[in-house]
Amino acid sequence: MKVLGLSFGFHDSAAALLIDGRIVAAGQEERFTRIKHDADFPRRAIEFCLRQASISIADIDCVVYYENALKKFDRIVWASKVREQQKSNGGLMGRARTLWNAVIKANDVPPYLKSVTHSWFKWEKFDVVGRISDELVIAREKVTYVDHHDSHLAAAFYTSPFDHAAIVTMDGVGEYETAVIAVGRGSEIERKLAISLPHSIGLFYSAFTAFLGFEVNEGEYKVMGMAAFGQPKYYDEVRKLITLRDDGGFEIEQSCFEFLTPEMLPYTEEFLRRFGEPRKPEADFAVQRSDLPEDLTDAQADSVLSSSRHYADLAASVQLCTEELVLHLVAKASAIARTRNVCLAGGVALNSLANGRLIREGGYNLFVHPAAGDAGNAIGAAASYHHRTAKQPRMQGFASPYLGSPLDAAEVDAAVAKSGFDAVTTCSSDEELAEHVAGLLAGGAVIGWVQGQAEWGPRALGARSILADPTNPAMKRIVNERVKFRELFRPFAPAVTAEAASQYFDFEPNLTAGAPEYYMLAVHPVRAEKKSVIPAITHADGSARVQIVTSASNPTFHALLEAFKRRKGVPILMNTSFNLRGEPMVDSPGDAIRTFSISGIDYLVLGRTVVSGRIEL
Amino acid sequence: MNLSKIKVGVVFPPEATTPVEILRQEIEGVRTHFAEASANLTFTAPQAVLPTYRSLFPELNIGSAPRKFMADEHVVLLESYHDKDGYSAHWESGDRANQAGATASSIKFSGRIVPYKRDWSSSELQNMDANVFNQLSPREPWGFYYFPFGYLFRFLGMGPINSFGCRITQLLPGLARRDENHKVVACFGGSAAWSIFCLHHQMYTELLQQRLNAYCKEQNLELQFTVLNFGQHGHVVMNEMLSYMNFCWDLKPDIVVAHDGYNDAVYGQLCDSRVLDDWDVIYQENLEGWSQILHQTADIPRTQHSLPYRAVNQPVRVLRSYAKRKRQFAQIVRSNGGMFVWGLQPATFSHKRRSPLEASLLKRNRNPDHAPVAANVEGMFRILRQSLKLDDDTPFVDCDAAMSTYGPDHLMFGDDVHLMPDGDVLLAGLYADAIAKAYIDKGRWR
Repeated sequence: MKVLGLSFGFHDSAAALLIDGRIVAAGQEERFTRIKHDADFPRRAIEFCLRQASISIADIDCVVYYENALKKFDRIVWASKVREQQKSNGGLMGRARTLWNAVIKANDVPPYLKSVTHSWFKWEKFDVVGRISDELVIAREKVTYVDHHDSHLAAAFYTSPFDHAAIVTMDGVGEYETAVIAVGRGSEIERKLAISLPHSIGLFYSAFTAFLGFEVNEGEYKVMGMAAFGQPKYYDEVRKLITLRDDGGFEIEQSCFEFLTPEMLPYTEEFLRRFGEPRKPEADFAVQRSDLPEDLTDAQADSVLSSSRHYADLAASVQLCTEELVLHLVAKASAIARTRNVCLAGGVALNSLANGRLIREGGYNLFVHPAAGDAGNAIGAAASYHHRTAKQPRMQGFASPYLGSPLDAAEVDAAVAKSGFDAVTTCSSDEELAEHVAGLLAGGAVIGWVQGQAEWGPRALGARSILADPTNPAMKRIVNERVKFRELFRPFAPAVTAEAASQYFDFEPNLTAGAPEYYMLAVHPVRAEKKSVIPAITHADGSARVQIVTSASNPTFHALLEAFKRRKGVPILMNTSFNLRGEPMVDSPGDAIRTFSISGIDYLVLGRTVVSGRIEL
Repeated sequence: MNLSKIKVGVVFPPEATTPVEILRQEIEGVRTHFAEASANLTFTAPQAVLPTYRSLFPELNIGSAPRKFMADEHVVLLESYHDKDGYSAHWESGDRANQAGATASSIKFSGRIVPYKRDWSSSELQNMDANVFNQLSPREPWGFYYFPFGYLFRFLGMGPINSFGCRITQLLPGLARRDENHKVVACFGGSAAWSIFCLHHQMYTELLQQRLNAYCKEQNLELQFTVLNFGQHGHVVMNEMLSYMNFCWDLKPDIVVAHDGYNDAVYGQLCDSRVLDDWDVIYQENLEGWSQILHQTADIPRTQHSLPYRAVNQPVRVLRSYAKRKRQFAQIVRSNGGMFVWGLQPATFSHKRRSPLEASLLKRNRNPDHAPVAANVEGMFRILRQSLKLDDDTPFVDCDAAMSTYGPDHLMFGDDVHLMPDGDVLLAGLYADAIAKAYIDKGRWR
């Protein structure tokens, strides 16, 4: 059975192909179009999946969309109605306003509903089945859909290594639901609890993301990064906004938020009254004078330092409250399911700090779908159909996160020939490659590393990575300023051999296939005595978002880590995604060369080809 | 037309939200375009905003509007600038002016003067009959027109231009016969070199001329400089070479300044790889459209067949072609007895500390079609300055790097690449210093 799962329309379009229960290919559209978070119909991702399987669309048995569009619109209408009623409940003036709207401006549609409806018509969201059918030239009968959180549940459980697990999905909002607890057994998923809008962990976190000056659905992990520089001084204030229920659910106090009809900002005047002025986007952030431009006066510098501490403290407070909420949900789910196996999906599952605590404090056997956000629902939708509609046997879990575009040797040669770079070396073996590149890294070079199939999910895992020496204290600044052009407070993550992980990081690596550390989805403390050894990947709070690498999970990368260890004594590399700020991770050799060209990366490695960035014009 | 006898009535915008920097430039535009009628300029503003404008411009003696317009008047509307709605000339005054039979024009934020709800007059349409290619082109104030070597470009409303669209008022044959102590500097480049947001006297070439002459006077040197602006919209280095060979061969400029980089960087990414890779030729991709029109081949797709544009050529490959062609240009100039100055033009990414007005102008005037390839240019300029190896004789003037030292108190850019008058002041200083150091101080002409 060949099932094609699709997610598109809101953010992070993707396609995934399941053949007889095996994930054959999965790709996120942004990697092909080079438009970050591309939400458009995933034409190129679909073409990629079909090409990987050497089939055509005619061979597909079913195409499954990741959510119920009409139920979603029903929620939008309901939310608009609730909001209008709340406005009209404002005493005499409120009722007069309602009367005015009803009698004088008959049929006046609330602005939010009007703009959403207009957008839906424009982008053909009312008939997703029809749109898919037209785009792919496939019979309507072959197209179906599943509910949003059912996609997340399927993505979380069916790709896990567990036969029995508690499943928790948490995001902004699907149709109505924002979080679901379920139990997975074999091919069955049984829902136990659902939380609906307006109570949403994802939107709660996103509101603070926006307040802290970052882009929603993009900057949430920057909040995590900023939190490490602060203390949870505002914990009490933030915690007041959350009520944890005994049944595992939660409620968010709504006076501070606009989750129902978010036209402009997701927070209200009451939010500003409690938490002050929002941080301006791109505002200077620094916790020490040396991080600021020299031409600032002392007064200006003090102002920046003071405001930075304030916002960092708020980030720390929000992060702590979110972690508590996640722990609460997972504890209940585990109790209901009577197992320590836990599967997570939904955008909130990418909160690596929370995941680290679940592992260390909760002792859970955790699996997090690597593309836990909406892109992962392409797999989830296909998996849900495979099991629950088609009643097929339990599918195979993730064998590897490397599901994307392969690296073609001929394509590499052609791209390098057209690149304009002329200092090119080709290694004759993987061993020679590892030694050569380890030598460059040990010498202080920053390397763009492109190997094999691209990663599925937002983390670079040694297939489309930028690598550097973590023992060099200056390397964090070098890579942030010269290569990625990111804010200086953003941390970098390590890749470490699984064998050595516990020597450097305070956790016991779970080498079960699918452990979050394989996908860099859990943050753990760096051991106190090792912080000075690997300063470039030790964050301000002494933690790191760890990727463990085995010779089975990624042999080429593992060999490189070992070769680096022979030179510098540590089997660890700084591993960040191969992209510049504002662009998706590179995919093809051409993408890699383009990004390499205009960044400060010293060498580009494409398979066994090493390109030096040194040129003379 | 006897401009000294024209009465010019200047009308301020009806709302006081236009930034004062823009109003100043617009007033400068009026003064420039009606220099001969300076004694007959009157300024008015609607009553509600009169106090505001009077406090901003006390020297102008601003009267109250509305007032009756006369048929022998030239009414000039200063355009307003709104962050959300963009530019607008206030229509009510302009319409009354037209009804009264007056001539109505509006002044844009750059100081450009354009007709208001009327056709361009014959005196305003410069050079329409200057040569057959002007005559064969549409009688329009803006556009690119066919010319056998490169193309002809016309942009009216910013001051005098010659028959090829260059902002040159001098007669070149006369300059070719100049005295030994009279030195000519010829500046080349694209629209940024043309200085599209600067009035004639604000162009960096005019300022450069003043600076060089002032320097020579200060140094008691018997040298006189004339600086000519051969900049043309869209020019890449290949076009600059063609212009030099067409217009400058007999002129033998003593110094050639090639102020470029951006057009080659952008167009180089967009053009056919085969033309770039095999021949190091960079061309403007929209010229493929001319080919389609000429040969009726619209059914054959162009290299850029969808929007937004996508880079088809790698940055370093483009830079190699650009550097090669620029070296070729330098060789041609030297073979004709001139000296070469390699200029790298600035772009907005180097002026990151900018004022809210500049940020607003950038947002309003950004070209979304070019955005994906324009995003690569900053990195390309960085590679260029790190990797370019010039012989000691050739000055390299990095106007882009110099831009980063300026903060928000300088209104530098009106869009991604075109400078406002403050920016051209910077360019003039940089090139004056480079020419002084590389040539004048070394006694090149003693």
